[in-house]
Amino acid sequence: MAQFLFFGRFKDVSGDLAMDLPRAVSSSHDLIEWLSETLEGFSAEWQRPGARMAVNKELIIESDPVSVADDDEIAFMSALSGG
Amino acid sequence: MTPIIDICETPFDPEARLAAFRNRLAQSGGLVSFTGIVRGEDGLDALELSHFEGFTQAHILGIARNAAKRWPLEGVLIVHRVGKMAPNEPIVLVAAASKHRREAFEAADFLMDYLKSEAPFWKQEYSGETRRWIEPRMRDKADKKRWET
Repeated sequence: MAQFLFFGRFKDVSGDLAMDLPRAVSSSHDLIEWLSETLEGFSAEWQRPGARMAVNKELIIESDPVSVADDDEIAFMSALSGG
Repeated sequence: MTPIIDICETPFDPEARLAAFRNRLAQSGGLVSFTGIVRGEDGLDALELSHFEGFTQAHILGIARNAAKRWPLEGVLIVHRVGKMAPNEPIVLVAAASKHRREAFEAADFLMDYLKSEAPFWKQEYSGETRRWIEPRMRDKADKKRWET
């Protein structure tokens, strides 16, 4: 199962969760589309400035999708607040 | 030089942490520290910080290593609170030690500017029934820009 972590405003959308990825989801791009359709409020947060995604703690650039699989840790972060 | 980075889930004693850090130094003639405290603003009941385990530490370590590239430092200490804290509680302690004072002053200033604007923390303010997410202020971003030349 993929482990999902949500930080900042994404925490208001969902708590952390673990789930199997649908077969049709194999890239970070697919994953964002799928979460936008299935998780209420996700799409609005993803479109906010400063929203970022990390797979196994590596930041993903939206224009350069990476593959995702069931053993990955996937994090969504809203704009950081700083220390 | 191996920076000491500590993300604390519980309250910490800045003076005790600083004394322990100072005791490890052997060559420094200057030790500059900064303690950040939760500001007791009108109506603020609590501040809650969250972090991304491993990711946040790695990012802060990167900031400390950048400081060590710019100044000859014997030691860097960064202690940062997470979780819920009340006004007047210490939230951050930064210390930089070097042979001479100027390098220690500048490094501590640099570390705080980058922590304030770039460290992966998410912060919420609680006031009565309301809760709001905080983002870096323009001032924090401008402070960081001073080091980009």
